[in-house]
Amino acid sequence: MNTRRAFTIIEAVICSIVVALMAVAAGGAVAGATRARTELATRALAIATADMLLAEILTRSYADPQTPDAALGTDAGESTLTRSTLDDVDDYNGLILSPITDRSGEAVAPVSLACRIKIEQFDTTTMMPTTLSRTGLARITIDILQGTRVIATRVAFRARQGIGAVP
Amino acid sequence: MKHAVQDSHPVCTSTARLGSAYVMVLACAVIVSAIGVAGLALTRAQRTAYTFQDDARRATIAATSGLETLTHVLNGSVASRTQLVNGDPILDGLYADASYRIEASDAGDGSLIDDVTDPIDILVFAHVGRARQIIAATLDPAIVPMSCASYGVAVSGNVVIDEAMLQSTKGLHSALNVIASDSFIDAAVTSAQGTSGSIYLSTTTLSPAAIFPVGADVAALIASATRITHASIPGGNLSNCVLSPTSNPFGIAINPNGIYLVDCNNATINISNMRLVGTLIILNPGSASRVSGSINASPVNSRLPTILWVGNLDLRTSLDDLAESVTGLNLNPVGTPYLGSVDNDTLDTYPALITGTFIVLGDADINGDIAIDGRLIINGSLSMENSRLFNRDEPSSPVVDVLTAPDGMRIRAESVRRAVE
Repeated sequence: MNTRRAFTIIEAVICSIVVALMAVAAGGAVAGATRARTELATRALAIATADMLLAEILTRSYADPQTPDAALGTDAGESTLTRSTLDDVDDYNGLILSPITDRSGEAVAPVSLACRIKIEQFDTTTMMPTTLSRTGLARITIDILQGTRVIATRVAFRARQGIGAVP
Repeated sequence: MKHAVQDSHPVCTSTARLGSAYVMVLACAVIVSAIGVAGLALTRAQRTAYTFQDDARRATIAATSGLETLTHVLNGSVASRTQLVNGDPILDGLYADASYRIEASDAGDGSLIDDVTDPIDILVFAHVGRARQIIAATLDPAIVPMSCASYGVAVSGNVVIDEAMLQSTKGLHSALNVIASDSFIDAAVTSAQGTSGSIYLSTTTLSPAAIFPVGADVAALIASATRITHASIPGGNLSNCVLSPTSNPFGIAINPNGIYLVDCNNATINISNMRLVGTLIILNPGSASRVSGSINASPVNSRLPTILWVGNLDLRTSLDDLAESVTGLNLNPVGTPYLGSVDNDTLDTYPALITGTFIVLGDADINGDIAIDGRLIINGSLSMENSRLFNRDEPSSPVVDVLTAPDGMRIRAESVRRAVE
């Protein structure tokens, strides 16, 4: 006959083990969830930033309004240091922003993020970028990087006769 | 006496033990697990919602880019209309993770391929992941001025000027050479090959040769004209008369835009001392045909040329005013006012001036003086000798329709919108 109502040592040990396992599992789950949410938040911010930059570029026409057949890249009087001077999409080719700023120079993303913009001429017969000087269709690629890792990408196209065509 | 064995302590068996520690631990495990699972489910739901939102945004970008690319393809080849009709996968491969469907229609006549200048209504369906976006737009044919319309005097052949004067505020262009001797050229001169002689203002050589209208470009204008038979013109002399939307002395038919056509069939026609309010078209003039005397001409519709001369032109006009006293005819009768004024007398005078666009599809030989407020376009050569040509820009005159050319398709402003099925 055992009249003692307390835990046995075995019960205590087993309970401790179960609680410890639970704690480890719960901690891992919480850490994973937190990490996932942090990544999600960072990625959402990166994509919002990419969308903002894409919107800026898509306000520009395919080619320079004054000299539509000018060579690719910035023209006279234009500089990537002053983005308000850029007036066609290929002016943005090769632009790297770190930190990422808007046109007025104000930072719009954490300093841990950087942006890389590539403008390529696109050939619709091969559906591939081409080295031709002008095809009439430009592919705009915006990568948002965290360190060297690309965490968000936006790709869009702008045609010479497209929505942003110069009348 | 049987004594029951009594125990002051209650019987305690193993079932009496509650195992409360295990229960509590298990309960805690269940609660913690439930919270953990709920947290993971919430994160998963957030990720799913986020992914769907991102897919929707990417689908919108893909649809818009698909419209841009489709416009580019349609501008590159008119055969692309047939591809649209056949449902060819024009946009496949544009994005690695997007698929497309295109619906195109011609709201005007239902056929996409009967006329390459018909507008196209387009729906671009873009699928990315589980998201789909539809962009609708209308593509219109683009009409652009021919490059010859950039100049006041444009000539497709050589310009040879001898002891003459040419003045143009909007410039002189030759798609070949400008050769001047003992002459005065008061104009910015542009030529595709070379320039010689005394030229004031600027000189540009080796510039791109301008594009000029040809017969097909004026076919619609010719078809819209009211014909005057050569036989109805006494002696072939189209002179001392008024041609206008209300006045046709050579026939009973009038034209609301004042567009009159004379097909000479190689017979001679002489035009002199007349007032034209409208558009005069001369076809197949005989080799002895000429324009002389004082001419006052202007179009009814600023999108129409004033004179279209299809053949070689011998111009011997004068800058003397066109005088009713000389013609013996009232040139501003009721229905054909001049500067808003009509009368019945023969006392008025009118400047010898052609306002609007004078087009010659042939060689032009100028041996007189002429003033043109607008454009002189010659698809042929120009020869001037002992003559003067005064050309002023007419800012209020748009480029006439026959000096425009189709230039692919453009997305109609304000027509781009997101659509639903």
